[in-house]
Amino acid sequence: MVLCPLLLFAQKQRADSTHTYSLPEVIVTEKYQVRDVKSAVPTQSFSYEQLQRLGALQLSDVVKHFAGVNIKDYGGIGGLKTVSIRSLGAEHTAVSYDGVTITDYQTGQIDIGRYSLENVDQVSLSIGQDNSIFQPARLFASAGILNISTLTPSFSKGQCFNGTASVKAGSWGLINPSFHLQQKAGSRWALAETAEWMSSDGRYPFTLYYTNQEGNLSSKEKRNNTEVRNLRLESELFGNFSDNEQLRLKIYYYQSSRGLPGSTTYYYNHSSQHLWDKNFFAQSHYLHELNRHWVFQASAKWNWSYQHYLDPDYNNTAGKTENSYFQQEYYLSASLLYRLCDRLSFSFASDESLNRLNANLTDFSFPQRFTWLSVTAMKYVDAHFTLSSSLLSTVTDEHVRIGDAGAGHRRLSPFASFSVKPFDAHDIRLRFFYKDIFRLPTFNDLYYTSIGNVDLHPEKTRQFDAGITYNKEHWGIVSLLTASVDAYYNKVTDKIVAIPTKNLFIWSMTNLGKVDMHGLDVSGAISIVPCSGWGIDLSGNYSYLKALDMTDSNGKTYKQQIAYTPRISASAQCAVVSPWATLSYTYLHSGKRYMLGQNIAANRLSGYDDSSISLRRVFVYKGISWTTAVEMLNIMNRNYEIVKNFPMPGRSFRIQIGVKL
Amino acid sequence: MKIHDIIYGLLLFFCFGVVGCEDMHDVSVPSDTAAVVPDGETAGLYVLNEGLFNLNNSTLARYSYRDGSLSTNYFSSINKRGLGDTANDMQLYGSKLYLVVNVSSDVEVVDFSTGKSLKQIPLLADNGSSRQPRYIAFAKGYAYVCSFDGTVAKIDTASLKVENVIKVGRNPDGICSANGKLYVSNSGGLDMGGVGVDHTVSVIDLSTFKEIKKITVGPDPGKIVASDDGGVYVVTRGENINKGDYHLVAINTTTDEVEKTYDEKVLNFAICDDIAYMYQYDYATSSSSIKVFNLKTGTTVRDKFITDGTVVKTPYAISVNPYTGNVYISDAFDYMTSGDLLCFNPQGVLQFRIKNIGLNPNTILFTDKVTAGTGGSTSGGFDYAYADTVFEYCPAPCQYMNTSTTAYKEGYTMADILKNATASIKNGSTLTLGAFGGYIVVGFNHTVKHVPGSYDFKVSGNSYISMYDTKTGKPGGSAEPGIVWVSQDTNGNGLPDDEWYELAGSEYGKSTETRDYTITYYRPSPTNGDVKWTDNKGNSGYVYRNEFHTQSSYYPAWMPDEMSFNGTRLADNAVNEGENGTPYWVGYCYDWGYADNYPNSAEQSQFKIDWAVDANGNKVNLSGIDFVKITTAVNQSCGWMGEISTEVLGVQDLHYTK
Repeated sequence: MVLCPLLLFAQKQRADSTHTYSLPEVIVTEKYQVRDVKSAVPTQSFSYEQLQRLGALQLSDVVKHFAGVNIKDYGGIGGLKTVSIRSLGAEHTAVSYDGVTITDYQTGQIDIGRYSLENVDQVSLSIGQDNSIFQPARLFASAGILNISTLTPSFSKGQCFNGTASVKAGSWGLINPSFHLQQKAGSRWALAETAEWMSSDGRYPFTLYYTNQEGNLSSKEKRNNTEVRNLRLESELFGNFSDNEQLRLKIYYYQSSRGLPGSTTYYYNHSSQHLWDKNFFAQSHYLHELNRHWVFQASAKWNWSYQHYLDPDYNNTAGKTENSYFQQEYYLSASLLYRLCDRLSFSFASDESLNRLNANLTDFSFPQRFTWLSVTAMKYVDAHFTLSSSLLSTVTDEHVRIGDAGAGHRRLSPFASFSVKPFDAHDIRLRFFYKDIFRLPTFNDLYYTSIGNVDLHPEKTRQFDAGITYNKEHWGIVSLLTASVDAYYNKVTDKIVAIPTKNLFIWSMTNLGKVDMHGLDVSGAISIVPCSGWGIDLSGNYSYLKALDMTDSNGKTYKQQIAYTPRISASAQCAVVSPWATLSYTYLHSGKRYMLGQNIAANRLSGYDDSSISLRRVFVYKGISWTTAVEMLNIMNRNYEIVKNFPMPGRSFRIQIGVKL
Repeated sequence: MKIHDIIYGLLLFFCFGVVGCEDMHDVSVPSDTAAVVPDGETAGLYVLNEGLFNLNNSTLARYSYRDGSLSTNYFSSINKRGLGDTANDMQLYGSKLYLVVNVSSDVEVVDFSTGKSLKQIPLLADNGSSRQPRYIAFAKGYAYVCSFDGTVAKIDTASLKVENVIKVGRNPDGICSANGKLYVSNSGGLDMGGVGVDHTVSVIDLSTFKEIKKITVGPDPGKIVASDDGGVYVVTRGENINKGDYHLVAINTTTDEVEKTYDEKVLNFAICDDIAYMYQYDYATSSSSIKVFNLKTGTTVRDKFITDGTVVKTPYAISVNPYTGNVYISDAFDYMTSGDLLCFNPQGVLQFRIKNIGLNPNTILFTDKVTAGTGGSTSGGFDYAYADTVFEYCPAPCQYMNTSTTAYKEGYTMADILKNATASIKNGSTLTLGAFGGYIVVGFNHTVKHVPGSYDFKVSGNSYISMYDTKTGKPGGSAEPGIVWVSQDTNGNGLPDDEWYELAGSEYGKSTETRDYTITYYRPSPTNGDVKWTDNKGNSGYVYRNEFHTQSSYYPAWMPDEMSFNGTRLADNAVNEGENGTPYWVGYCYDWGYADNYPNSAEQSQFKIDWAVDANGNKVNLSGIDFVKITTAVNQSCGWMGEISTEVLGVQDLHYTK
C-alpha cells in the first residue's frame, strides 16, 4: 500500500484541502503509476477507473494482471483463488483491507475470490513491503502485500448525499446487484453504506479430455454443484475532525453458500460437497498529526469467521462429514512517525493480536496464538536517493486445550531498500531491496487431525531485488510513460510441505522443501491523449520465473520447476477512451506448468491465453448519470485449467447497468 | 533516450517474452529395461499405478519379456483414454483383466489379449454417489468387488452385469475367496477419529451370496490373502493407523475362527507356498523393512528379506511371480514422483529394476500368455509377424535339458518335442539351445522381405545387461551369443531344405573364430552324471551339473547316446569377475549380429539380411527369407552359472503388416 489512510483521505478531499504537507512519506497528487515507478520496492496498482475497465467481478480477476504474481484459481465464481507473489506461496502474501490485514490463521491463505470490486477505489501490490514506513507492524511481516482500499466519501459543494446502484447480470445465472451510499452528517462526519448480493448457478460447459495427448477421446461436460450465493454488507463512519485528525470505523459482514464442484473425475460426475462461510469484523483507524514532527495512528479490529463444510456422501458411520470451524481475532496496532527533518523520518509500530480456532472435531486442540509484532523503521529521501530500512521483531506464544502446542517463536526480520536517481533531467531510477521474512505454520499445519505436526518450524524466505524504472510525463501527446524492469533472487528454506506418511490417505506436514527462484518482471504503461476527450492507455507486463526445487540432490524433482509455476507469464491491457464510450481489451498469458514437482510430460498443463473485451458508456439521462457496460470474457473460448482438473469457464457475457444519484 | 526506442524496446520485450523464453522442457524419465532379467516363462508383466487423488492419472504399465518393450501408458495408448482416478486393484480372470478404479467409481474390464476395454461397470449408490470400489476377487465365474460404502457387488464375468449388491461391514479394504466363501476386511478406516475403526472380517457364502458371519480379527483389517492351503491371512492396522500397531491374523476357513494372531508388523504382504513376504513402513524413521515369514511354522525365516543392500524407500506393492518365485516390490518414493519396480530372487538379491514405471505402483501381475503390445498386433489370435513353426529343434546338453525349456515332457518323442516347441515359440516361451552346437530352425507363414539397409527381423532371447558395472566398462551381463542363419524357400516346398546363409556378425572372419568346429556329446552313465564332450581339436570336457537344476539328466532323453554338432565356434565371451573367491560371471556382449547377445529392447537384437554370406564368405543378395536357424556359438562352462547356451523366445518379422 502506497497510501496510508490519511493520504486517501487527503486525496479525496483535495478539492477543498487548503494545503498538503510535503513529507517524505507523502506524495499526494501524483498518478498511481508514477508513484509505482518511484517506489523503492516493486509496486503496482490499479485505480478506480482502471478497475472499471478491467471488467473484473472478483479481486482475483484484477490481481492476475500484476507482474510477478501467480494466482491459483479453481475456476468459477465459487472456486478458491489464492495469490502467491513470485512463487513464494500464498501464505506469504498479506492482504490488507483499508490498512488492516485480513487473516486466516487456520489455512494461512486468503481466498481473494471473496472480495468484490464494487466499492473498491484502488488495488495495489507491493513486493517485499510497502514503500511507506508509517504502517502497522503487520504490514512489515510478509513477503508482499496486496492492498484493497475502498472508496471514501467525497461530496461536491452543497451536496450531502451520494449514491450509486448497479446491477450486473451474465452467463450461468450471474446476478449481482449492489448499492453504495454516502451521507454527510454535519461538517465532520460522513457515513458510507455498501450492500451487495451475488448469485450464480455457475454451470458452465467445458471439454473433458481423457488423456494428456491431442487427438484422444474427449467429451462435452458441464460443471456440477457450482451454485454460489454471496451477501456482503459494509458500513463505515468517517470522522474528519480536522486536516490533522481523522477517524474511520468500519463494520463488515459477509456470508456465502457455495457448492464445491470438486475436481473433474473421469467417468464420474456426482458432486455434493458444500461450504458455508460467515465473516464479521469491526475495525477502526484513528490518525492524528500532532505537529510537524509527530504523527500517531492506531487501529483495532475484531474479527469472527465461521466456516461450515458438508460432505453428505462420506462413507463413515454417520454417512457424512460435517465440520464447523470458528476463528476469532483481536487485533490492536499503534504506530508513531517521527520526522526529524524533511528528508529523514523514523517510525515505530507495535501490533498485538490474539487468534483462536475452534472446531467440532474429535480431540481438536483449540489452538490460540498470541502475536506481538514491533517494528522500527527509518527512511531518508532526497532528490536523488531514497533509503529505507526496517527491523521487525516477532514474538509469538501458543496455547492449546488438548495435546501439545507448537513452539512460540522469537525472530528478528530485517529489510533494506535503496533507490537512486542518477540524472536530474531524466526520471530514471535504480532500486534494490533485501528482505528476510518468514511465515509461521498455520493452525492446520500444526494441529489438523492426524495431518498436523506441532514440531514445525517457520518457513523462511529471503528476497533480493534489483530494478530500474523510467517515468516520463506530459510529452507531446504522451501524457504518461512508465517502464520498469526488476530482476530478483528468492530463496525459500524450511518450506512446509505435506507428504503422505503411511499411505496415500494419510499425509503430514513437514519442513522439507528448499526452493531457489530467479526471476525477471518487466512492466510498462503508456497513456496517449491525441486530442481532448480521447485517450489511449496501453499497459502490460511480462514475468519470467525460474523456481527450482533444491530440496534433495538425489530426488526425482531436483532442480525442476516447482508445481503450478509457469516459467513465463504476461498480461496486457488496452483502453481506448472516447467521449462516447470506453473500449477495453485485456489479455492474460501463462506458459506451461506442471501439476507435480516432476517436470514430466504426464504432469504437464499446457499454457493458456485468455482475453476479454468490454465496452462501457457513461451518459446523463433525465439528470441522472447512467453507466452501462457490456463485457465478453474469454472471447476465444479457450478451455484451460489453472489447477489440474478444475476447468476455467469458457466464453461468457456480462452486462451492467448503474446509476449515480 | 528517445521515446521511440523505449516503446520499441517495450514491445520487443513483450513479444519476445510471450513467444520466446519458454525454456522449460519436459524432463524425460527413461525406464531403462536393458537390465531386465527374463524371468522364466513369464511372458508379460502388468503394473497398475494409482496416480494421485483428483489428478485422473492412474496408468497401466505393461512390460513384455518377449520383445523387451515397455509401455508405461498401455491402457490409454490402446483405448485413447485414461483409466481415471485412483485405480486401486487389478486382477486377471479368464481372458479378461479387471481394473478397479476407486474415485472414478468403476470397474474397467479389458480384453487381456488385445488390451482393449470391453466395458466400464459403474459402481454407484442409489443417489449417484460413488461406492468407492477398492478390491476384487473371483470365484466360479463371478467377480466380487468390495467398496468403501460397505458393500460387495457380484458381477457375472460373462455378461459383465452387476447381479447383486450386499451389505458387509464398514469400509471394506480387502477381499479374497477361499473354501467356497468370500472373506472381506471391514476396515472402518473412515471412522478413525470418529466412532472408531471396525474389527471384523465378513464371511460370505458363495452359493447364497449372503453374509454368514463376522469374525472379530482386530482393529482396522486391511490386506487379506488366501494361501494355497486354504487358509486366509489378514493384516490389522490398529485403532489409529498412525501408531503402527499392526498384526498378522490367520483365519481358519473351516471353522471361520481366528487361528492365530502374530505379533508381526505388517502393512502388506504376498504369499508363495508357505512363505509370506511382508513389509512395513515406519514413518518416524522413514524406513521400510521387508521380512520373510514361514506361515506353516509361524517363524521368521529372515528378518531382512533383501540381502544385497538394495534400499526400497517406500514399498507400495509386493507380489510373487507364480512362475518363478521371484519377488517383485514397487518403490513409491515420496508418492509424488514416478515409482520403480524391483525384482528380487527368493534369496533377496536384486535381479533388476525398472525405473519410473509409474506414479504409485500398487498392483503387480504376471502372465505367461503373449498379449498385444500397444500396436495391438495380436488383435485376437496369433501375431503372424512372429515365426510360427519349429522345423528342427536339437538342443545340446545343458542344465535346462528335459524340462519345459527344451519343450520336453516325460515320454516325448522327437515329433512331440517339435510340436511342443512350436507351441512354445508361438507363445513366446523360452527355448534353450543348450551348449555349443544346439540349434533351432523356425519358419514364418510368409516370406520376410529383405529391405536393404534396414533391420529385417528380430530374435528375442533372455540376455540382459548387468545393472552393475563390468570391470572393463563394456556391456556385459548375461550374453549367450548364437549365430544366426537364414534361408530362402527357393524350391517352394515350404521346408527348410534350401541353402543356408550365415549372417556375418561382428566376430565373423576374426582370428578368434574357430571355423569347422565339431563337438560330440556322450550320454552319461549313470544318466545323472556330468555330460562329457570331445571336439575335433583334440579337447574334451564336461557340461557340469549344478545344484539349481536337479532333473535326472542334462543329456536329451529323446536323442541317441552320442550326438555331434558342427559349426563355427566363437571365442569365450564370459569372464569370472568375482573377488575374494566369490565367483561372479559376466557374459560380455559381442558388438552385433548374434542372437541372445543383447537385451530384447536393444537394437542389437535385430538383424539385417544384408549380412548374409555364403559358405565362401561372399555376400549374397536375397530378396527375402523364409527360415531362420540359430545355433549356440560358444563352448564355455561358467562355474555355478552353467554352460553358455543361447535361448530363443521368438523371431519377429520387422516389416510385417497385417
